[in-house]
Amino acid sequence: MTTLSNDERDALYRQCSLAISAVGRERESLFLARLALLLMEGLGDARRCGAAIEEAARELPMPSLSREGD
Amino acid sequence: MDRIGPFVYEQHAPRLPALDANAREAHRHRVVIAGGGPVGLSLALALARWGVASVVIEADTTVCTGSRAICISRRSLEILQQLGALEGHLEKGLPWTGGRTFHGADEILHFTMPHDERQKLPPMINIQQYWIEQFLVEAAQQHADLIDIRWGSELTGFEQHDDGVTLAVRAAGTDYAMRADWLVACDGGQSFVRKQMGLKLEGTGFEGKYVIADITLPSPYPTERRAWFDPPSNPGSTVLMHKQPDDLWRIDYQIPDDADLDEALRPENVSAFVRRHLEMLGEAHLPWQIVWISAYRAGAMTLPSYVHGRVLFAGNAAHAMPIFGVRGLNSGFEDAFNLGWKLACVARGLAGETLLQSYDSERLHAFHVNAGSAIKSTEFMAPPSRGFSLMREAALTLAHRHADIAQLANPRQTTAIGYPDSPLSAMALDRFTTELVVGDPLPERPVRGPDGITHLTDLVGPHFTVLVFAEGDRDIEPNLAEASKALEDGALPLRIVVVAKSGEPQADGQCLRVVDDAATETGAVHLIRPDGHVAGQWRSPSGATLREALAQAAHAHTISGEQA
Repeated sequence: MTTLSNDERDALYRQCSLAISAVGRERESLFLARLALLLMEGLGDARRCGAAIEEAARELPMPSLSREGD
Repeated sequence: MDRIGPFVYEQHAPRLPALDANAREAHRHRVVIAGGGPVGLSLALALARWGVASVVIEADTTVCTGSRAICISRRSLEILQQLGALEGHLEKGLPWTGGRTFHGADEILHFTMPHDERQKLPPMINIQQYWIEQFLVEAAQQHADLIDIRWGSELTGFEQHDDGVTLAVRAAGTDYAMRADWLVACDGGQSFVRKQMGLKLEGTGFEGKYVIADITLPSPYPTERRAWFDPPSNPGSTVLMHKQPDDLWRIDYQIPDDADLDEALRPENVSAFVRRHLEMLGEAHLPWQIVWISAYRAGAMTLPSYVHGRVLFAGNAAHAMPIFGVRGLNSGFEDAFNLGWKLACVARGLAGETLLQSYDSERLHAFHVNAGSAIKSTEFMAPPSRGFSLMREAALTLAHRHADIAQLANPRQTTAIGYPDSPLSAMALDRFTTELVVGDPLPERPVRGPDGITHLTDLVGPHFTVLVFAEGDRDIEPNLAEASKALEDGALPLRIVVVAKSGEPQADGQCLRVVDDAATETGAVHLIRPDGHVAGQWRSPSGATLREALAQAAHAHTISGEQA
């Protein structure tokens, strides 16, 4: 498995943050869903995709600080 | 309704059998089938080819109104061929091999169903259910000595005993009683038999509401399945369109969960929706007219068991399928064909009654495979929650540039279902690289017979088949030939067919065909069930192995044909 360098991770984190801000709240969910689909195809590993979905859903804070309506 | 297009409804008068002073029919029947729809008629035909008589009790005096089921799969066509009803379907039906899916104004997927030059039959045809029923009725009339269709006759009650069923029937204002060894409920989604026994379908229901409309429309557009998500004509909607014979078109569309269904079904509202859709297609100028409107809600539900003593269930009486992927009637045909030979063998004393348990386990397995695919299709076509809606939008908006993601919109049309864990399959098996898989129906492959090209699926009939792949027409082992011969003389009908790579097809018919395809493995011996499913495969099996396998496949106590 190839891993990201710290610089690469920083850059992608920033790019994704900017993209979420740019698409706006109304399209935030759709953007993230499309991103998930593209990353799953790109990864091409059903087990790791499934594990990532589980991990993302684990210990989700309630309520989220990014919830709608604030 | 007297007619629709060129289809003329033939009325059949209710008829009473000869009754004794107590309004009871003297003759005791082997099999009574509740419901004269496509599943009930198919079952009657499947029994008749084994010489087993049946009575079909049908409340109407003619075939169904409305076009109802319209997509008939290749496997169903194979079954209809066996039942002697294929010809009309091929003449009248519209064959097709694929379809297109659109998102907004863009085509995002062009899918095709498995098809190649080895196939004899198309992967799918479209045809109205009234034509299907009419062809089955005509086929049944060829067996008037074995199939007694009682039109205009209503089953009003029944009682099960250890060895049969007593039925109460009303026809032409007269109530009478009849007796049968077996009752098979093929009486549809609202099954009277099921309700009378207090049985309930179990499974997953869905919220999505669909309107189904059939319209006349003289459109030259070819036969394929078209689906639109969020089309410009009806934003936010999902629309399906299928061509049927006689310039009839099927349009299905989803209405919002919170919409009032009765309101949506009003003809003026359906008309407005359809007009906008046809305008988008550039076909609104054609003379079109709505002929039938109905509603649909998705569900994948089944009885926990299809065998209840002397009462059996098949088709929609046994299970309900979402429309997406067309598994409703197609699984009904497979039910009837699976049950037909088994019930016939039991009724004739060729097989033990336990054979019917395999109908239960095999068709329940098929239900779960079907339901799995149908639920995937339904979750895409009619998203059941916000997560599914969001992911669908994500997939649809990426699909036009990502072919792999576009596959999520593939309708996953029905395919033949094998029985990998069938209790009828032989235990000790050799593995082969051929396409013949134990539990699966025979794959299609052209072979040369004495009268020209024929196909592997043509070898199936009301008998078991020992299918041998050999190098040359003289290369079948003497042991095997002897053992097979002995089995052939037994009580269970059995035929031996040798498919040789070289040599000439022989005119004794059953025994030799030359295959053109080099993919068969020589030395492979297969036992094929009467419904075309493979029950065993070996290299050079002994006579004892074959006898054992045949006894297991038929749940027969003894196989005569000697040499235990």
